[in-house]
Parts: sequence; C-alpha cells; structure tokens
Amino acid sequence: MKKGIAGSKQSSDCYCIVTDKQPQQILIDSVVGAFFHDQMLKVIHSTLHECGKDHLSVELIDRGALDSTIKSRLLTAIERMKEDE
Amino acid sequence: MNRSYLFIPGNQPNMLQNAFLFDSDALIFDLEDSVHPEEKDNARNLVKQFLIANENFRKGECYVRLNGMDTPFFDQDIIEMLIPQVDGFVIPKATKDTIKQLEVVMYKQDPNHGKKIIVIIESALGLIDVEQIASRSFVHGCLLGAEDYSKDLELVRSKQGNEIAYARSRVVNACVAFHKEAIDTPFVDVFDDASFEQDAIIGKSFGMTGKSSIHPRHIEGINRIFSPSKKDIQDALELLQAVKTAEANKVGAFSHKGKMVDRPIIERSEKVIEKAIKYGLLPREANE
Repeated sequence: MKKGIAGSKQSSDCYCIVTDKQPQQILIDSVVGAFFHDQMLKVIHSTLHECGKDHLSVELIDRGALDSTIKSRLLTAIERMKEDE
Repeated sequence: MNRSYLFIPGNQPNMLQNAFLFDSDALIFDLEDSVHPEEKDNARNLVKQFLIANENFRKGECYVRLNGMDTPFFDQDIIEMLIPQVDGFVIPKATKDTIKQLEVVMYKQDPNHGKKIIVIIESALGLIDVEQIASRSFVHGCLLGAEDYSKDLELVRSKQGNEIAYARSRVVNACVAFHKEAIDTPFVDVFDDASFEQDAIIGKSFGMTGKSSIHPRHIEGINRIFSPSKKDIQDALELLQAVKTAEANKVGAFSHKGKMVDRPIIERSEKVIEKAIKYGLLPREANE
C-alpha cells in the first residue's frame, strides 16, 4: 500500500494521511467537524480531482485548519506518496 | 518604497493565517531558516495555497524568501513560487556571483517574470559585492542580515549595534547610489521594546529606508519611525509653498527661514510629501 503523510496536529493545522487503500475511505476527525465537515469534504474531493487522484483514501485529523491549509497538506501528502512509487 | 517588512514562517499555519491582519507594508513568507529541511515541500504548498486563496485580503507586497542557491531546495522554490500572487523574492546569502546566476535561472524559467528581487547582505563577501549587486537592474533592494554577517566576522552582537555600523553605511551607500531600497536588519530581542526603538532610530539615522522584523509587535514602531514626522511634513509643505511663491514672482535663488533654497533641498521636501501621501499621513490633494 502506498502512503503519504503531511502536516501536523498543532492548532490551525491538520494531519493528513493519503493511501491507495480500496475501497476509498474519507475520514475526517475535526475539532470543528460539527460545523465544517461538509466543507472539508468538499476541499478534499476537489483537491483529489485537481490532481487526477479521485480514487485515493484520505484520513484528515483537523485542528481548525483553513481550507487552503487542508488543500496544501493534502497536496504535499499526495506528492510524498508519489515519491514512493 | 516600504517602511516595514515582516517575516512570516512559511510552514506555520497559525502565523500564516494572521499575516494580512498586520500593518506591515510588506510581508516576507519564509521558506528558508524557519523551515526544517524535511518540510520544505510542505512550506512551499502552504504558502502558495494561502496566497492564492487569500489574494483579495492582502494589503501590501508579498515576497517569498527562497532557500539559498547552493541548496537542493532552490530550483523547486523558484518553480513553485513563480505565481502572480508573489511580488518578489528575497535571496539569502547574496554575492555578485549568486545574483548573476539568479538572473539566468529566472530568465530561463520565465523571461517576463517581473518579480522584484531583494537580496540579503549577510556575509563579508556579500558586503564587498554590495555595490555590484545593487547596480543590477532587477535588484529592488538590499536587506542587511546582521546576525549572519556578525557570525561571519565572529563579532559579538550588541544592542547598540556599533559592530554593524560599517555594514549599515555601506549597504545604504550602495542602495542610494543605485536608487534601491535599503532595508535594515531585524531586531531579534523581540520583547525588549526600548532597545528595539533605539535600534530602529539608529537604522534610520544611517539612511535605511525601511526595516525588517521577525515579530509583528515591531511593526507599529517601524512604521512610525520610518514615516516622516509631523514637523518634517509641515516644514516640507511650507518650503514647497515658498518655492511656488518664488516661481510665481519669477525669483531665482531665494532664502526660506534664513537658509538658501537649492534643488536638493526642494527634492528632499518633495520626497517627504510623497512618503507622507503614500503612508496616509497627508491627503493626495496635498501634492497638487
């Protein structure tokens, strides 16, 4: 299984694990999940789509990150995954 | 011309997300010293996505401090950061040779990049080269990095900064000669407010046009110290009014408040007014 990790569990950041595990799973653990779960899901799907990696599984541990932070950590995790290929 | 340049660590979302709330004239997003070597990719993506997503909230110029040209990170830094949201690059450990290389590399990436370049003079060799560096047309300004410069010379840094007097003078002289911004070194003892103020005043007295900072608490002081004072503005307005009167009366040389007025004095007053307008200390109509 290929895996890429990026980010941190510090405040305003998020910790992102990307794998090619199938079937696809998107897991979000967030301190503000009750309010922003759908928005975070949207950012994850659009970022995966932008990279042509719609099939990847994502586990996101969020500590109040902005959308741009989630996107950037996800991009880095995907790029790091590529390094293992 | 900017009074204040605030460094923002490139891989810390909690600091990044507040960047546009500060009153710094310009921001420098850092990919170099504040980022661990294994996190350079994370920092590049974070800064890039932040700048793209928050384009409409920015107030001043946004620069990115790249990793040194002698590091394995530099090429990717340039590739990732050549985006319209970045106004320019800050280049560490500049020498005349690195600046020549930089010009070639950037031209290769994008001949029409239009990025401003601020170089950091932070070594003995960099200071020797500063005139040649400042003379390059694509260099926008020179920032004195006193901590690394002092380390290079094995100098002990003091709060008075006597040990960097020569470096300050030489950087300012080169910048003035080639019409570039001279940016003073950050004051690193973040919570010593009195010494910070003194350091900024000294920097200005050497002719620095602005000052960099590693902490937002210094921004208000830098903006205040590097702005023209109320008295400077009043004196300049009075002098320019006297010039207008003299011209209307077809008077050539004349004296104002007991001093002869010549071209450099007029130009200095015009610069004071230009800065006062830019920094919101005078309405734009004052220049008409």
